[in-house]
Amino acid sequence: MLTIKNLHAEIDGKPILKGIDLQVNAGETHAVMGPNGSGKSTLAHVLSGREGYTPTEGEVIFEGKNLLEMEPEERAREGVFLAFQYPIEIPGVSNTNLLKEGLNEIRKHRGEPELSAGDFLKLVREKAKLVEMKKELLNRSVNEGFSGGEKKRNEIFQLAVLDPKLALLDETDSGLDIDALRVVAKGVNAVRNEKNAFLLVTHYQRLLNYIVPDFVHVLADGTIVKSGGKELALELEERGYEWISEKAESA
Amino acid sequence: MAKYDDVKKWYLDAAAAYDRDDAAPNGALKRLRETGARRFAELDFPTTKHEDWKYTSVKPATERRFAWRAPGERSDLPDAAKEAFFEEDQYRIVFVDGAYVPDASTPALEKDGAYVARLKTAIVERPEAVERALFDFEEEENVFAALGAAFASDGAFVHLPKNAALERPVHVVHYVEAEDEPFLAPTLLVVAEENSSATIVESYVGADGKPYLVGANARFAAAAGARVTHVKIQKEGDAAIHLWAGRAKTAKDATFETFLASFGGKLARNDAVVRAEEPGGFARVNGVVALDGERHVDNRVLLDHAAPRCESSQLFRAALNGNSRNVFNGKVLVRPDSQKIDAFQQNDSLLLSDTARSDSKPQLEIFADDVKCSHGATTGQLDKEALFYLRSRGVGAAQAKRVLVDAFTANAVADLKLASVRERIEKLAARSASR
Amino acid sequence: MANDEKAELERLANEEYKYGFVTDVESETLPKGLNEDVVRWISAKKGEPAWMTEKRLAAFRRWTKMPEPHWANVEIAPIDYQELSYYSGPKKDRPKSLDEVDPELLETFEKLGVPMQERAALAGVAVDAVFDSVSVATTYREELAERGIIFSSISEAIREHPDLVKKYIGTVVPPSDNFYAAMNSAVFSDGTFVYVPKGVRCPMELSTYFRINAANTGQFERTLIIADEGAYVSYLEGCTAPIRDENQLHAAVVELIAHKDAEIKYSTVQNWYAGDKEGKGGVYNFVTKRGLCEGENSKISWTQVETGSAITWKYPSCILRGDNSVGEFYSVALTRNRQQADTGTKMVHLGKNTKSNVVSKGISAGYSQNSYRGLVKVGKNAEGARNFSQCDSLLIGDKCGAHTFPYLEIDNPSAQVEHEATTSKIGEDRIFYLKQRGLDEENAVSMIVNGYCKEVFRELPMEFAVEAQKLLSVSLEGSVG
Repeated sequence: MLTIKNLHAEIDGKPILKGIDLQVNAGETHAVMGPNGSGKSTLAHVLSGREGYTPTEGEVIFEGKNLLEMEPEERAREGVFLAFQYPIEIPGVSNTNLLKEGLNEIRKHRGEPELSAGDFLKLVREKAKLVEMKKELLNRSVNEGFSGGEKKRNEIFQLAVLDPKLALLDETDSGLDIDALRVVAKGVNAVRNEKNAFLLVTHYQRLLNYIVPDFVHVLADGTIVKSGGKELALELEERGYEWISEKAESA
Repeated sequence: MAKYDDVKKWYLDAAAAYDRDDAAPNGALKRLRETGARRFAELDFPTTKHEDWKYTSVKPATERRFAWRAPGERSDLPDAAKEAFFEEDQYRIVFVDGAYVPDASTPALEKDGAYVARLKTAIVERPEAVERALFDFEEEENVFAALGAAFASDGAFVHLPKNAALERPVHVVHYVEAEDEPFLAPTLLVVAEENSSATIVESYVGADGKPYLVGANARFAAAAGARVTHVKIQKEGDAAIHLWAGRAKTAKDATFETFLASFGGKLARNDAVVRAEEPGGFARVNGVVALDGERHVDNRVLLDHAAPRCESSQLFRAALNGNSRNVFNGKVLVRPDSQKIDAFQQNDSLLLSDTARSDSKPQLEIFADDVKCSHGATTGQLDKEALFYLRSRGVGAAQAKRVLVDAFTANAVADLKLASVRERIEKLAARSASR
Repeated sequence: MANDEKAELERLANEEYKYGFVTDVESETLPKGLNEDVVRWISAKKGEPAWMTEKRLAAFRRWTKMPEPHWANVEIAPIDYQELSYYSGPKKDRPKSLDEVDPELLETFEKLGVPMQERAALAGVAVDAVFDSVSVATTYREELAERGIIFSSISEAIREHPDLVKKYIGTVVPPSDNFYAAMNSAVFSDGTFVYVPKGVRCPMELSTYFRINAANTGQFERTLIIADEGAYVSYLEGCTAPIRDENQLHAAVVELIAHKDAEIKYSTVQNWYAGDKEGKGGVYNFVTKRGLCEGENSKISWTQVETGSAITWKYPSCILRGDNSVGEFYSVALTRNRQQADTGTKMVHLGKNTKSNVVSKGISAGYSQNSYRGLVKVGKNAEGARNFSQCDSLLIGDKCGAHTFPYLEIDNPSAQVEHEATTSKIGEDRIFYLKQRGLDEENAVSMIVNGYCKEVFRELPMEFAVEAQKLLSVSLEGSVG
C-alpha cells in the first residue's frame, strides 16, 4: 500500500528526515517510535503534505501513485488520514458539516454517489457511538471549546467516518488519561481491517498495549535505526531510547 | 479661516524678526526654522471637521497671541522645578520659562562616545550630527509642529554612537511660571546609531493660572538594533496649552518606545508618529491620562508599518474626573507589502464623574494580508465585583476605588523599566484624577 | 436587441453574476437631467398631492446648495448628475391584480428567485416588486389588510394613506441630512410602505425586491416602515441589476419607526451588479438607512449581507430614544475585484438603559477596499447605556485592504461601551486542516468564510440565510489562490 524509499525531508532548510525506508501493507499496523526530535511527527506531516515540511530526496508511493506530488486534499481523497497531535479549533464550522463535505468529496473521488442526508446521519451516529462522542459535540464548531480528550476523540471519530486506507496517528495518546486512551484505542481497533493500514507515531509504549502493532520501528535522528515486532516496544520501554542510540553508534 | 490669518501673521512676523536678529551660529536650525515657517504659512489651523482634530478645538491655542521668547539663560531655579528631578538623572537639561539654567543642568556630556547637550551648544559643537537628525523626516502635516519648528532654536540633543548605552536617563525639564503668556518651542533630537540604547525623559511642569503655549517638537532616529525609550511627563497648569509632536523612525530590528503621561492643561495634545522603515522594528506608544477639572487631553498616534515583520503596541488608559475630557485617536497603518505585522491597540477609559467625557477613535488601516492586527476600546466604570471583593476584605469604599483606579492607569506604564519614573507617573496619576 | 446580445456575451464572460440580464419591456424614461421640472413631473406622474410636491421641491432646492460628500474611504470617479435619468418605469400602468401584471415582468422576478405567485408553498413571504422607478406588483395585500397591516408601494401610500405618510416621512432622515438624502427626497421613485398597527404581529415576512433595469438611470428607493405600539414586523429586501458598462446610481432612503414595545427586523441581501474584474460598470450604492426607536422597549435590528455594488456607502443606524430600547446591527460585507465598501452603523443612545450590539464581518479579496465605519454615541442623559461592537476583517490575497474606523463618543459615566476588532488573513492551518479532510482550496475557504459569518447569517430569516450563504460562496469563486 505504502512504500517509502530513502525519504529525506527538511523544515526551514534544516534536514529532519535523513533517509527513511518503510513498507506498509494493507491490514498492517506499524508503530513508529522514537525520542523527541527524532522526526516521527515530521514523517506523519510529510506524508499528509503539510506546508513547510519539504521532501528533498527519495519517494513515497501510495497505492501505485506518487504521494509527494499530490495536494493535501488529494492525499486525503486517495485515503490518507492524519489524526493531528494538536487539533485546531475552527470557529463557526460544525463538525458534521465538515465531515459531510469531506466524505462526499472522498466518495466522489472514489466514484461513489453522495450519501443521502439520512444515510449520512446514520453513519455519523454509528461512528460517534464507536468512540463514545457526545452527541452535542457533533454539531458544535470543530474542536471549539473541546477538552483535550474530546479533541483527540473527535479525531478518531472523523477517522471512523472518513474510513481511509491509511491512517496516520500523530501522538494520539499524548494528553489522554487511561480511560480516554482506552476509548480512543477501542475506536481505532474497531476500524482496523484487512484492507486498511495504520501508522502510529508515539513516544510511549503505553498506546501499544491497546492498539497492538504488527511492526515497531525506532526512529533516531531522522532514520529508522531498528525494526521489529511488538516485543521491540516492550524492550524499548524497559531499556529506554539510549539503548538504541548506543547500539546505533556502536554499529 | 480669515479670522486666523492675523494670528498666523503674528507668529510669522515674530519668526522672521527672530531669524533676522539671531546672530548665533545655527545654520541647520535656521534651515529648520525656514522650513517650519513655510509649512506653517501653508497649513491652516484645523477645525473639528478635520479628522485628526474631530474632538479637539484649537481655539485655546489661537484665541490669544502668545509672545515668542528667544532662548536665553538664567541662574535662579524655583523649588517647584526641582520637584521634577529624579535622583538618578545621569544628565539633566533644565529650562525655566524657556531659559536655560546652567547651574541646574549637567554640562555637555561625553561618555563612551555618547554626546548629550543643550541644543544651542550642540549646534556649535556637533553641527553635522544635528543637521542629520533634522532633515530626515517627512514633511510636517501638523500646523502646530510646523509652528514649533519655525522657532526651533533650543532644547536638547542626544547622540548615541554605535553600541553606546546610557544606563541612567537623560532628563529634560521644562518649567514655566512666567506671567506674560509666553510661547515656547523646545526641540528634542535623539540620534541612536546601531545597537545603542538610552532612555530620555521629558518633564513639562507649570503653575496653575498661567496661560502659555508650548509648541514642542521631538525627533527620534533609531538605527539598526538601537533601543530608544522616551518618557514624557506632562503636569502643567490649568491654563497651559501644550502641543507636542513626536516623530520617530526605526531601522532594522530597532525599538522605539514612548510613554506619554498626560495630566493636562487647558489643552494638551500629543501627536506621535512612529514609522517602521525596515523589517523587525518594534514600536510601543503607551499613554496614561488622569484628569480633573476642565482639563482636556488629546492623544493622536500613528503607527506606520512601512516594512515587513514589525510589531507594535499601543495601550492608552484614562481616568477622568470633573468636567475633563479625553480623546484617543490612534491608527495602525500597514502599508502594501508590509507582511507579517503584529499590531495591537487598546484604549480604555474610566469615567469617574457625571460630567467627564471620553471620545475614542481606534483605527486600523490595513493593506497587507499576512497580518495580525487587533484593537479594542472600552469606556465604563470600575468593576463592581472587584470593588465588592476588596471591601469584603475590609478595605474602605473610597480606598478600594482608589486602588482599582491606580491599578487601572498603572497598567499602561507596567512595561516602563525605570522604577522611579514609573512610580512618579503612578503617583501623579493617582493625584491628578483626585477623587 | 443588440444590447441584449451584448449583455448575454458579457454574462457568459463573467459567469459569477447570474442576475446580469436585461428585461425587454417598453419603458417610459425621462430625458437626462435634474431640475425643478423633473421633480414636478415625477410628482405629477405619481399623482401626488400638492404637499408632497412641495416637500420634493424644498428638498431639491436644498440639494442644489449641498456639496457632494467625499469623506468616505472610497475612490470615486466624478458623477455628472445631469447625465442621469431620474425616472424610468414600464409603460403600462400598474395592474389592479397580479393576474394582469406583464408576464415579462413576472418572469423577470421569478428568474431572480422572487416568489410573485401567492402560492401555498411560498406563503409566509409577501413581496413588493420594484422595477426601476416603479413598484410593479405587491402580493398578499388583502390578507395583510385583514389585520390592518398596510403593505404597499410608497407611491400608493402617498395617495391612499396621506396622513400616515405625511406624519412620518422625513422625520428620521430629513432632506438636510446629507447630499444623497436630499437628492432622494426630491426625486424618490418607489419603494415600500409598511404600517403595522398597535399590537399586531405581522404573520409573514414582508419583502421588497429592487431591480434596476434601464440604463443610465438612477434608482431612488424610498422605504418607510412604521411599527405602532407592540407591533412586530420582519422585512427583507433584495437587489440586483443587469451588467452594464456604465455605473448606475442607487441612492436610497429608508426610515424605520418603532413605537413603544414594537420591533422591526430589517434584512438586506444586496447583490447589485459590482462591475467587472477591472472595475468597469457596477452600481453606486449610496444609501441612508436609519431607524428610530421612538418608544420604550422598542427594538430595531438591521442585518445586511453586502456582496454587490461597485461602491457601497451605507450606515444603517439606530436612534435609541425610548428608554430600554435596543438597536442591533449585523453585517457581512464582501468585496472583491475592484469593489469598494465603506459601511457600518451608528448607534446613538439617548434614552435610559438603551442597548446596542454590533457585529460586523468584512471580507476583502482581489484589489478591493473594505472599510468598517461605525459610531457609538452615548448622550448626556443616556443613563445605563450599553454597547458591544465586534468588527472583524478577513483578507484574502495581498492586494486588498481592510480598514476599521470606529468612533466612540461617551458623554455619560454610567455607560459601558466595548469595541473589539481583529484583522487577519484566513488561517492557513485551517485551510490545511480542511484540505487534509479532502476539501479543495476554494471549498475550504468558502467553508471557513461562511463559518466566520455565521453570527450574522443566524440573524437572517431561514430562506435568506441559505441564499446568503450561497451568494457568499459564489462570490468567493475565483477569489482564491
